[in-house]
Amino acid sequence: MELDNLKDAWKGHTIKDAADSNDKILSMLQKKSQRPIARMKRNLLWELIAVIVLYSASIVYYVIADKGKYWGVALLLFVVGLLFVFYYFRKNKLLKEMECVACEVKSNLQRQVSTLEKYVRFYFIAGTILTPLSYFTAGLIVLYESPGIIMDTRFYSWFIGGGIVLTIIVYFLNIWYVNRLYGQHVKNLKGLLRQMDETTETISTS
Amino acid sequence: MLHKVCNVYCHSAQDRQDMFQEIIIQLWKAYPRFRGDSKFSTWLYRIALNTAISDLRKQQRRVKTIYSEDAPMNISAEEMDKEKEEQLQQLYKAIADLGEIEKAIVMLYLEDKSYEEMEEILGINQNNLRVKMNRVKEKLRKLTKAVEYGVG
Repeated sequence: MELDNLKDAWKGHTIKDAADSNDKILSMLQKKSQRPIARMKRNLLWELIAVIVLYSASIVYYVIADKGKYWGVALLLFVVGLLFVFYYFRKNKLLKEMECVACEVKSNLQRQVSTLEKYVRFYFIAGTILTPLSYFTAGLIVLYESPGIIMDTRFYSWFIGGGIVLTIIVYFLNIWYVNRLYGQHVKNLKGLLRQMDETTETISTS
Repeated sequence: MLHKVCNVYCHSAQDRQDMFQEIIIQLWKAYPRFRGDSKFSTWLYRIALNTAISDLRKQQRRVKTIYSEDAPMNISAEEMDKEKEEQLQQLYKAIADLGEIEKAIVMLYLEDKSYEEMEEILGINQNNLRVKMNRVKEKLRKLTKAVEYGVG
């Protein structure tokens, strides 16, 4: 079968589909995109909302509690909350940059690979730092609320030891999790780019 | 044209419908930014192919999908003789065995796009496209023979 002989048949054939009616297309436009990037954006928004609600409620509680006695805790939570907000905005910015569907296919794939790698790096570093940071912030809050503990050296050794163990666990857990979430995706994207470059390599080596 | 992209990249009716919907959504979102720097058809193909190619979640599922004999695609035979229709069915089956990028190249070739326009859509330079096209033609020749004689 020769490809050139099939050009007319290919161009002549139409595909019957019930999805062509205006109503059907309008209903499609009402639906949300199920592409991985669109879903990542939606998940990120929900995470951001959850963090804002939880941190705002905690901050308000500590500002009001005991007529503002714990305002320092509220300030600490505010700073950590700000870091989380920065983390979400940065991730959102990377997600927005990740795709250009109207660009050439190759440049879109290159853009996806490089931005996704940046995203994964940021996700990994931030994830590894933010969890111990939250842990030690929680510890400071406990110290602030229970000044009697300050003299207890056993508390410090358990607290710091626990923090170190947590950091190590979070580090390895993040490596596994990030790889599970995005490892295969990055590998597939690179595979597609390799498919595009195959001929280039052949020409330059021949 | 959008249906042809869906048929080339998806083998089950559900996947085809999902992909069609996804392409429509992407076109709708991208249209306000269309400034006419390229031909409308180039812009349309870019969006359709970018959506189809980079939807890796679906691709993983597609790999596991066995291409069934009656799967394709409601091809209208109104103005087409039976022989041509069978050839098209064979062609679709053979295309299913190609890589994602090769599928795009074959599709554009069959749509009679010039190498210049293919370069604008895919971002692969014309010399490379010619080399790749020759390889794909050879591959399709073998694949369609295999389908014809029930090999593979």
